[in-house]
Amino acid sequence: MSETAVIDRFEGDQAVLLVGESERQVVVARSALPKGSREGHWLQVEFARDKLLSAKIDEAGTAKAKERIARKLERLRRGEHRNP
Amino acid sequence: MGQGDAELIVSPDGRIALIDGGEADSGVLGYLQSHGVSKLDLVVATHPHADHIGGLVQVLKTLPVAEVVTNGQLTTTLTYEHFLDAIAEAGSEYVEVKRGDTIPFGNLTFQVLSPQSTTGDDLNNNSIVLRLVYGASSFLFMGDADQAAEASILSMGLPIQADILKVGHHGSATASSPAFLGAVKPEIAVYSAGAGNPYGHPHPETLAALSATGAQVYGTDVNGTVVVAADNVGVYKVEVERGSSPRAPPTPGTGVTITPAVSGSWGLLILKVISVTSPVAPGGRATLMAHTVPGANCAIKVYYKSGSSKAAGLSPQSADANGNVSWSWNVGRSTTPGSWRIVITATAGGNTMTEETDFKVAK
Repeated sequence: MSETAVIDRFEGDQAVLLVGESERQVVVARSALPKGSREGHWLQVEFARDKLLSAKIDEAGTAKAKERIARKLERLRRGEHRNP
Repeated sequence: MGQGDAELIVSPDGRIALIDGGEADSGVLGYLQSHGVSKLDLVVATHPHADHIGGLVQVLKTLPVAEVVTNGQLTTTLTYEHFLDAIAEAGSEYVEVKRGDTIPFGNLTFQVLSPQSTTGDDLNNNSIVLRLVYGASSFLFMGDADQAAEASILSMGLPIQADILKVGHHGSATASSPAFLGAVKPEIAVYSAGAGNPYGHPHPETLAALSATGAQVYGTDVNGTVVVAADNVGVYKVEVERGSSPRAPPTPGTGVTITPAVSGSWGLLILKVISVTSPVAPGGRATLMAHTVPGANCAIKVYYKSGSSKAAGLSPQSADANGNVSWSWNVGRSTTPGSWRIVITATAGGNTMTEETDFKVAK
């Protein structure tokens, strides 16, 4: 089954993925991720239990998340949440 | 709490700050609640990795938080998005800082030593690094700053000496260069790492480098929650949940560090004899001055050969707002000369601490 995941961070030669809506944490080998993977990249992944079968960078999903989150950050910076 | 990072700081005037909150299920909220924290004056997210901000989401949803400070660098995880949502929902003041900024914290001030900017995409190295000075005690909170950030801080020639160091990046060898540790010169170093974590934190070379500084090293993987109490004359007291000096666990493995001197409700007490008149001639007057936490109930016993002194002036007292307490009493004319024991106790928040000293009665 294909799921979405996001790369939270790299720790040495390992990568910490947050998988699905609940952001279940799964640690995988960095080498198992596609070339060019960076922190914050959204991925389409397939797991068998916690073994990563496949991973593909989702550039469009990454851009969409970044845009949505950047808008929220901008609202905080402008203090709109304090003066609704 | 597993792998993650969180430090709770209580100022002498009772302000409460939380630097990072561990992972989402870190237990940090439970720790705060079980210690009677009903609101936070300041929350600092050093950087947006899930093992630092995950636990902040629940804290922000549950407790009033006056101010949230970040480095302004965004990431694309849902954890980070929920963190932003929680700040918005809480209505907290939102502030971004960089090197050279200060963060007021009651009667203390955090100095922001890093990051210089957040243009790079290395989230760890863009961690907010904070230094806090309280009289003769100093603290350095590294977040996950690695050696690149350390080198940048060193090159600025900023004051970085710290008696108490929250070690960078869970004790990873990517942080804690010998040059940096040599400049910090910590007396107490605390790293936060989950027992059996998959990253090998803390790395052996980091432990060796920390030990080489002469610091006492504590880690949340072996010590659980580490509590450091410090006062403005440079007296420290460290309590650990387990390990060399076990204490009753509040919430197992929350991995929280508490710093400066606080009221006894935190289970933290400091008691130190500052001075005592010695020697005193029979018929003379003696004074003992001590330092403890503000408001502590203090008692004194002076034991002569004939038993404990009944002199006026040796009645129990409360420490003043600075934690100072003193007693003055007359030494009777017929007091047997010699070296006599004085025992003082301080009680606050249901905890009692005892200190002993001697003074001489001259012939």
